[in-house]
Amino acid sequence: MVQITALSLFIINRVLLRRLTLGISAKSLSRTLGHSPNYVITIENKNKTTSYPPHEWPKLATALNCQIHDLLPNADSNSTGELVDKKVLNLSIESDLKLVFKELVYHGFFNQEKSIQDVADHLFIRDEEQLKIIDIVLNRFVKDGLLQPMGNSIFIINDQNKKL
Amino acid sequence: MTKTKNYKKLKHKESKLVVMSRIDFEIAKNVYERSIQIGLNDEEVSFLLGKRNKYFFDLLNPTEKAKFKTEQLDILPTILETSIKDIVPTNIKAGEEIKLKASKTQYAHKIRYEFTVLNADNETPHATVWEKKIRKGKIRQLHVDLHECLLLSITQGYFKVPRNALAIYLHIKANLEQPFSPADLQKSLSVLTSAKGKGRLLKREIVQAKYVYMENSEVQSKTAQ
Repeated sequence: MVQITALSLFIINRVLLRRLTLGISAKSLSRTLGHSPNYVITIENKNKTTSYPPHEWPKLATALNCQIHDLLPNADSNSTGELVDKKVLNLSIESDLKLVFKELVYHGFFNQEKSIQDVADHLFIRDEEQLKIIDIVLNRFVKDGLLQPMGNSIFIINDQNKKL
Repeated sequence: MTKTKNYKKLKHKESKLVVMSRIDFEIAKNVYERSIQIGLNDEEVSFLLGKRNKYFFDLLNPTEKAKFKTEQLDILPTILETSIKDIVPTNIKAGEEIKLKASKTQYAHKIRYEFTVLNADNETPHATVWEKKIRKGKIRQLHVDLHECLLLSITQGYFKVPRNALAIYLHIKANLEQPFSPADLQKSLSVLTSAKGKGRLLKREIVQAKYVYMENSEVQSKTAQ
Protein backbone atom coordinates (compact mmCIF):
# COMPACT_ATOMS: atom_id res chain seq x y z
CA MET A 1 0.00 0.00 0.00
CA VAL A 2 1.40 3.41 -0.98
CA GLN A 3 1.12 6.64 1.01
CA ILE A 4 -0.54 9.89 -0.09
CA THR A 5 -1.67 13.11 1.62
CA ALA A 6 -4.65 13.02 3.97
CA LEU A 7 -6.56 15.44 1.70
CA SER A 8 -6.01 13.31 -1.40
CA LEU A 9 -7.22 10.21 0.46
CA PHE A 10 -10.25 12.00 1.86
CA ILE A 11 -11.35 13.11 -1.62
CA ILE A 12 -10.78 9.68 -3.17
CA ASN A 13 -12.92 8.02 -0.48
CA ARG A 14 -15.59 10.72 -0.64
CA VAL A 15 -15.85 10.31 -4.42
CA LEU A 16 -15.91 6.52 -4.14
CA LEU A 17 -18.61 6.55 -1.45
CA ARG A 18 -20.70 9.01 -3.44
CA ARG A 19 -20.40 7.11 -6.73
CA LEU A 20 -21.30 3.81 -5.06
CA THR A 21 -24.31 5.43 -3.40
CA LEU A 22 -25.48 6.71 -6.78
CA GLY A 23 -24.63 3.41 -8.51
CA ILE A 24 -22.08 4.92 -10.88
CA SER A 25 -19.35 2.58 -12.08
CA ALA A 26 -15.68 3.60 -12.15
CA LYS A 27 -15.69 3.30 -15.96
CA SER A 28 -18.77 5.45 -16.31
CA LEU A 29 -17.32 8.16 -14.04
CA SER A 30 -14.04 8.06 -16.00
CA ARG A 31 -15.98 8.64 -19.22
CA THR A 32 -17.96 11.52 -17.69
CA LEU A 33 -14.70 13.13 -16.61
CA GLY A 34 -13.39 12.76 -20.16
CA HIS A 35 -10.67 10.26 -19.38
CA SER A 36 -9.72 6.72 -20.35
CA PRO A 37 -11.92 3.96 -18.81
CA ASN A 38 -9.27 3.07 -16.22
CA TYR A 39 -8.77 6.63 -14.87
CA VAL A 40 -10.97 6.31 -11.76
CA ILE A 41 -10.02 2.71 -11.02
CA THR A 42 -6.33 3.73 -11.13
CA ILE A 43 -6.94 6.57 -8.69
CA GLU A 44 -8.83 4.19 -6.39
CA ASN A 45 -5.99 1.65 -6.53
CA LYS A 46 -4.27 1.45 -3.13
CA ASN A 47 -0.96 0.69 -4.82
CA LYS A 48 -0.88 3.83 -6.98
CA THR A 49 -0.05 7.31 -5.71
CA THR A 50 -2.46 8.97 -8.13
CA SER A 51 -5.19 11.29 -6.82
CA TYR A 52 -7.76 13.76 -8.16
CA PRO A 53 -6.16 17.12 -9.05
CA PRO A 54 -8.10 20.31 -8.12
CA HIS A 55 -9.15 21.08 -11.70
CA GLU A 56 -11.12 17.79 -11.70
CA TRP A 57 -13.10 18.68 -8.57
CA PRO A 58 -15.82 20.74 -10.34
CA LYS A 59 -16.32 17.90 -12.87
CA LEU A 60 -16.51 15.36 -10.04
CA ALA A 61 -19.05 17.47 -8.15
CA THR A 62 -21.25 17.76 -11.26
CA ALA A 63 -20.97 14.05 -12.08
CA LEU A 64 -21.82 13.13 -8.48
CA ASN A 65 -24.63 15.68 -8.21
CA CYS A 66 -23.11 17.51 -5.26
CA GLN A 67 -21.10 20.63 -4.40
CA ILE A 68 -17.31 20.79 -4.52
CA HIS A 69 -17.35 21.41 -0.76
CA ASP A 70 -19.18 18.09 -0.27
CA LEU A 71 -15.97 16.41 -1.44
CA LEU A 72 -13.75 18.26 1.04
CA PRO A 73 -13.14 17.71 4.76
CA ASN A 74 -15.11 19.81 7.25
CA ALA A 75 -12.68 20.36 10.06
CA ASP A 76 -9.91 22.93 10.07
CA SER A 77 -6.85 21.08 8.91
CA ASN A 78 -3.68 20.81 10.93
CA SER A 79 -1.85 18.67 8.43
CA THR A 80 1.88 19.25 8.19
CA GLY A 81 2.12 17.14 5.07
CA GLU A 82 2.77 13.75 6.64
CA LEU A 83 1.63 11.06 4.26
CA VAL A 84 -0.93 8.44 5.27
CA ASP A 85 -1.55 4.90 4.03
CA LYS A 86 -3.83 4.89 1.00
CA LYS A 87 -6.66 3.03 2.71
CA VAL A 88 -9.37 3.22 0.07
CA LEU A 89 -12.86 1.99 0.95
CA ASN A 90 -12.93 -1.75 0.45
CA LEU A 91 -16.24 -3.56 0.00
CA SER A 92 -14.69 -6.77 1.31
CA ILE A 93 -14.33 -5.13 4.72
CA GLU A 94 -17.47 -5.18 6.85
CA SER A 95 -16.95 -1.76 8.45
CA ASP A 96 -16.41 -0.13 5.03
CA LEU A 97 -19.50 -1.81 3.63
CA LYS A 98 -21.49 -0.54 6.61
CA LEU A 99 -20.48 3.01 5.71
CA VAL A 100 -21.72 2.49 2.16
CA PHE A 101 -25.00 0.95 3.40
CA LYS A 102 -25.59 3.88 5.76
CA GLU A 103 -25.32 6.20 2.76
CA LEU A 104 -27.63 3.94 0.73
CA VAL A 105 -30.22 4.02 3.54
CA TYR A 106 -29.83 7.80 3.89
CA HIS A 107 -30.30 8.36 0.15
CA GLY A 108 -33.45 6.22 -0.02
CA PHE A 109 -32.06 3.20 -1.86
CA PHE A 110 -33.97 0.88 0.47
CA ASN A 111 -37.23 2.85 0.24
CA GLN A 112 -38.19 0.15 -2.24
CA GLU A 113 -37.64 -3.56 -1.72
CA LYS A 114 -34.15 -4.72 -2.60
CA SER A 115 -32.71 -8.22 -2.84
CA ILE A 116 -29.10 -9.06 -2.05
CA GLN A 117 -28.54 -9.31 -5.79
CA ASP A 118 -30.03 -5.83 -6.31
CA VAL A 119 -27.56 -4.46 -3.77
CA ALA A 120 -24.67 -6.36 -5.35
CA ASP A 121 -25.60 -5.07 -8.82
CA HIS A 122 -25.86 -1.51 -7.53
CA LEU A 123 -22.36 -1.75 -6.02
CA PHE A 124 -20.90 -3.65 -9.03
CA ILE A 125 -20.09 -6.65 -6.84
CA ARG A 126 -19.60 -10.04 -8.51
CA ASP A 127 -17.37 -11.77 -6.00
CA GLU A 128 -18.98 -14.60 -3.96
CA GLU A 129 -17.12 -13.65 -0.78
CA GLN A 130 -18.30 -10.06 -1.05
CA LEU A 131 -21.89 -11.29 -1.55
CA LYS A 132 -21.59 -13.13 1.77
CA ILE A 133 -20.42 -9.92 3.46
CA ILE A 134 -23.37 -8.03 1.95
CA ASP A 135 -25.65 -10.64 3.49
CA ILE A 136 -23.97 -10.28 6.89
CA VAL A 137 -24.19 -6.47 6.86
CA LEU A 138 -27.81 -6.43 5.64
CA ASN A 139 -28.78 -8.74 8.47
CA ARG A 140 -26.91 -6.55 10.94
CA PHE A 141 -28.90 -3.56 9.68
CA VAL A 142 -32.07 -5.59 10.28
CA LYS A 143 -30.88 -6.41 13.80
CA ASP A 144 -30.16 -2.70 14.41
CA GLY A 145 -33.67 -1.83 13.23
CA LEU A 146 -32.56 0.17 10.18
CA LEU A 147 -33.97 -2.32 7.65
CA GLN A 148 -36.69 -4.91 7.80
CA PRO A 149 -36.74 -8.26 5.98
CA MET A 150 -39.53 -8.98 3.52
CA GLY A 151 -38.72 -12.71 3.07
CA ASN A 152 -36.49 -14.45 0.55
CA SER A 153 -33.62 -12.11 1.34
CA ILE A 154 -35.56 -9.01 0.35
CA PHE A 155 -34.96 -5.90 2.43
CA ILE A 156 -36.73 -2.58 2.79
CA ILE A 157 -36.14 0.39 5.04
CA ASN A 158 -37.78 0.12 8.43
CA ASP A 159 -40.81 2.47 8.49
CA GLN A 160 -39.45 4.25 11.55
CA ASN A 161 -36.29 5.21 9.66
CA LYS A 162 -37.94 6.54 6.52
CA LYS A 163 -37.48 10.11 7.66
CA LEU A 164 -33.73 9.65 8.23
CA MET B 1 3.09 68.59 -10.60
CA THR B 2 4.11 65.37 -8.91
CA LYS B 3 7.11 63.51 -10.18
CA THR B 4 6.75 59.79 -10.71
CA LYS B 5 9.80 57.57 -10.76
CA ASN B 6 10.26 55.78 -14.03
CA TYR B 7 11.91 52.53 -13.04
CA LYS B 8 13.76 50.63 -15.71
CA LYS B 9 12.12 47.37 -16.72
CA LEU B 10 14.57 44.51 -16.74
CA LYS B 11 12.14 42.02 -18.25
CA HIS B 12 8.59 42.28 -19.50
CA LYS B 13 6.30 39.50 -20.62
CA GLU B 14 2.80 40.16 -21.82
CA SER B 15 0.18 37.51 -22.59
CA LYS B 16 -2.84 38.85 -24.42
CA LEU B 17 -4.91 35.80 -23.58
CA VAL B 18 -4.28 33.20 -20.88
CA VAL B 19 -6.98 30.55 -20.64
CA MET B 20 -6.91 28.53 -17.44
CA SER B 21 -9.17 26.40 -15.27
CA ARG B 22 -11.27 28.74 -13.14
CA ILE B 23 -10.87 26.67 -9.99
CA ASP B 24 -7.07 26.81 -10.29
CA PHE B 25 -7.25 30.59 -10.70
CA GLU B 26 -9.64 31.08 -7.76
CA ILE B 27 -7.52 28.87 -5.48
CA ALA B 28 -4.37 30.85 -6.34
CA LYS B 29 -6.22 34.14 -5.74
CA ASN B 30 -7.64 32.97 -2.40
CA VAL B 31 -4.27 31.65 -1.23
CA TYR B 32 -2.53 34.91 -2.17
CA GLU B 33 -5.17 37.11 -0.53
CA ARG B 34 -5.23 35.01 2.63
CA SER B 35 -1.43 35.09 2.93
CA ILE B 36 -1.52 38.91 2.74
CA GLN B 37 -4.38 38.97 5.28
CA ILE B 38 -2.40 37.04 7.90
CA GLY B 39 0.85 38.87 7.22
CA LEU B 40 2.86 36.11 5.57
CA ASN B 41 5.07 37.19 2.71
CA ASP B 42 5.49 35.02 -0.37
CA GLU B 43 8.92 33.73 0.67
CA GLU B 44 7.58 32.63 4.04
CA VAL B 45 4.78 30.69 2.30
CA SER B 46 7.38 29.08 0.00
CA PHE B 47 9.50 28.17 3.03
CA LEU B 48 6.56 26.58 4.87
CA LEU B 49 5.61 24.67 1.71
CA GLY B 50 9.14 23.25 1.79
CA LYS B 51 10.16 24.98 -1.41
CA ARG B 52 12.76 27.48 -2.66
CA ASN B 53 12.10 31.15 -1.89
CA LYS B 54 10.69 32.15 -5.26
CA TYR B 55 8.43 29.11 -5.62
CA PHE B 56 5.15 30.57 -4.36
CA PHE B 57 5.37 33.87 -6.24
CA ASP B 58 6.40 32.03 -9.43
CA LEU B 59 3.31 29.84 -9.03
CA LEU B 60 1.11 32.94 -8.89
CA ASN B 61 2.45 34.23 -12.23
CA PRO B 62 -0.73 34.93 -14.24
CA THR B 63 1.10 34.70 -17.58
CA GLU B 64 1.68 31.01 -16.85
CA LYS B 65 -0.84 28.27 -16.12
CA ALA B 66 0.97 26.97 -13.06
CA LYS B 67 -1.33 25.76 -10.29
CA PHE B 68 -1.47 24.36 -6.79
CA LYS B 69 -1.47 20.60 -6.43
CA THR B 70 -3.65 18.59 -4.06
CA GLU B 71 -0.50 17.80 -2.02
CA GLN B 72 0.01 21.53 -1.43
CA LEU B 73 -3.66 22.13 -0.66
CA ASP B 74 -3.26 19.52 2.08
CA ILE B 75 -0.96 21.85 4.07
CA LEU B 76 -2.02 25.31 2.88
CA PRO B 77 -4.93 25.49 5.37
CA THR B 78 -2.43 24.89 8.19
CA ILE B 79 -0.01 27.49 6.81
CA LEU B 80 -2.79 30.02 6.26
CA GLU B 81 -4.61 29.20 9.52
CA THR B 82 -7.88 28.57 7.73
CA SER B 83 -10.11 25.83 6.37
CA ILE B 84 -9.75 24.14 2.99
CA LYS B 85 -13.28 25.34 2.24
CA ASP B 86 -12.13 28.95 2.58
CA ILE B 87 -9.45 28.32 -0.03
CA VAL B 88 -11.42 26.24 -2.51
CA PRO B 89 -14.59 27.82 -3.93
CA THR B 90 -17.65 25.60 -4.30
CA ASN B 91 -19.59 27.38 -7.05
CA ILE B 92 -17.43 26.47 -10.03
CA LYS B 93 -18.99 24.68 -12.99
CA ALA B 94 -17.46 21.59 -14.56
CA GLY B 95 -14.78 22.55 -17.06
CA GLU B 96 -15.24 26.28 -16.36
CA GLU B 97 -12.37 28.34 -17.66
CA ILE B 98 -11.25 31.89 -17.11
CA LYS B 99 -9.61 34.20 -19.60
CA LEU B 100 -6.96 36.64 -18.49
CA LYS B 101 -4.95 39.39 -20.05
CA ALA B 102 -1.77 39.26 -18.02
CA SER B 103 1.73 40.61 -17.78
CA LYS B 104 4.84 40.10 -15.71
CA THR B 105 7.32 42.93 -15.34
CA GLN B 106 10.59 42.60 -13.54
CA TYR B 107 12.35 45.64 -12.16
CA ALA B 108 15.55 45.74 -10.13
CA HIS B 109 13.58 46.22 -6.91
CA LYS B 110 10.33 44.35 -7.56
CA ILE B 111 8.37 41.88 -9.67
CA ARG B 112 4.94 43.03 -10.77
CA TYR B 113 2.11 40.84 -12.03
CA GLU B 114 -0.86 42.57 -13.59
CA PHE B 115 -3.92 40.77 -14.86
CA THR B 116 -7.44 41.50 -16.01
CA VAL B 117 -10.16 38.89 -15.96
CA LEU B 118 -11.91 39.14 -19.32
CA ASN B 119 -15.06 37.13 -18.75
CA ALA B 120 -16.25 38.22 -15.33
CA ASP B 121 -20.05 38.34 -15.32
CA ASN B 122 -21.36 41.80 -16.22
CA GLU B 123 -18.45 43.49 -14.55
CA THR B 124 -16.25 46.14 -16.05
CA PRO B 125 -12.84 44.50 -16.35
CA HIS B 126 -10.32 45.99 -13.97
CA ALA B 127 -6.67 45.24 -13.56
CA THR B 128 -5.35 43.51 -10.46
CA VAL B 129 -1.74 43.94 -9.41
CA TRP B 130 0.32 41.59 -7.28
CA GLU B 131 3.84 42.68 -6.40
CA LYS B 132 6.88 41.19 -4.78
CA LYS B 133 9.59 43.47 -3.47
CA ILE B 134 13.13 42.31 -4.00
CA ARG B 135 15.24 43.07 -0.97
CA LYS B 136 18.97 43.04 -1.52
CA GLY B 137 21.80 43.41 0.95
CA LYS B 138 19.67 43.08 4.07
CA ILE B 139 20.81 40.55 6.63
CA ARG B 140 18.13 39.28 8.99
CA GLN B 141 19.10 39.28 12.64
CA LEU B 142 19.10 35.94 14.43
CA HIS B 143 16.13 35.50 16.77
CA VAL B 144 18.13 34.38 19.80
CA ASP B 145 15.30 32.76 21.77
CA LEU B 146 14.09 30.88 18.72
CA HIS B 147 17.62 29.75 17.93
CA GLU B 148 18.10 28.43 21.45
CA CYS B 149 14.79 26.61 21.24
CA LEU B 150 15.96 24.99 18.02
CA LEU B 151 19.26 23.98 19.62
CA LEU B 152 17.35 22.46 22.53
CA SER B 153 15.14 20.54 20.07
CA ILE B 154 18.28 19.15 18.43
CA THR B 155 19.67 17.93 21.76
CA GLN B 156 16.30 16.39 22.60
CA GLY B 157 16.45 14.36 19.39
CA TYR B 158 13.64 16.13 17.54
CA PHE B 159 15.71 16.14 14.34
CA LYS B 160 16.65 12.46 14.47
CA VAL B 161 13.91 12.03 11.87
CA PRO B 162 13.60 14.40 8.89
CA ARG B 163 11.27 17.34 9.62
CA ASN B 164 9.71 19.72 7.14
CA ALA B 165 9.61 23.48 7.74
CA LEU B 166 5.92 23.56 8.63
CA ALA B 167 6.28 20.80 11.26
CA ILE B 168 9.30 22.59 12.76
CA TYR B 169 7.44 25.91 12.76
CA LEU B 170 4.47 24.40 14.66
CA HIS B 171 6.81 22.54 17.03
CA ILE B 172 8.70 25.72 17.96
CA LYS B 173 5.47 27.70 18.19
CA ALA B 174 4.20 25.21 20.76
CA ASN B 175 7.41 25.47 22.79
CA LEU B 176 8.34 29.15 22.61
CA GLU B 177 6.42 31.97 24.26
CA GLN B 178 8.07 34.78 22.29
CA PRO B 179 6.56 35.60 18.91
CA PHE B 180 8.57 34.78 15.81
CA SER B 181 7.97 34.60 12.08
CA PRO B 182 8.60 31.84 9.55
CA ALA B 183 11.42 34.08 8.23
CA ASP B 184 13.06 34.00 11.69
CA LEU B 185 12.90 30.22 11.64
CA GLN B 186 14.29 30.10 8.11
CA LYS B 187 17.21 32.27 9.25
CA SER B 188 18.01 29.98 12.20
CA LEU B 189 17.75 26.84 10.10
CA SER B 190 19.96 28.45 7.50
CA VAL B 191 22.61 29.17 10.15
CA LEU B 192 22.44 25.61 11.45
CA THR B 193 22.64 24.02 8.00
CA SER B 194 25.31 26.25 6.50
CA ALA B 195 27.73 26.76 9.40
CA LYS B 196 31.20 25.33 8.98
CA GLY B 197 32.64 22.57 11.15
CA LYS B 198 30.94 21.55 14.40
CA GLY B 199 28.39 24.33 14.17
CA ARG B 200 26.69 22.61 11.26
CA LEU B 201 24.28 20.69 13.43
CA LEU B 202 21.58 20.17 10.80
CA LYS B 203 21.52 19.25 7.15
CA ARG B 204 18.88 20.01 4.56
CA GLU B 205 17.79 17.45 2.02
CA ILE B 206 15.02 17.05 -0.51
CA VAL B 207 12.47 14.32 0.22
CA GLN B 208 9.41 13.93 -2.00
CA ALA B 209 10.16 17.27 -3.66
CA LYS B 210 10.21 19.13 -0.33
CA TYR B 211 13.08 20.41 1.80
CA VAL B 212 13.46 18.57 5.09
CA TYR B 213 15.87 19.17 7.95
CA MET B 214 17.60 16.53 10.03
CA GLU B 215 20.56 15.97 12.32
CA ASN B 216 23.90 16.20 10.61
CA SER B 217 25.17 12.75 11.57
CA GLU B 218 28.80 13.60 10.69
CA VAL B 219 28.90 16.37 13.29
CA GLN B 220 26.95 14.31 15.83
CA SER B 221 29.37 11.38 15.61
CA LYS B 222 32.42 13.69 15.83
CA THR B 223 30.92 15.37 18.88
CA ALA B 224 30.30 11.97 20.49
CA GLN B 225 33.95 10.99 19.94
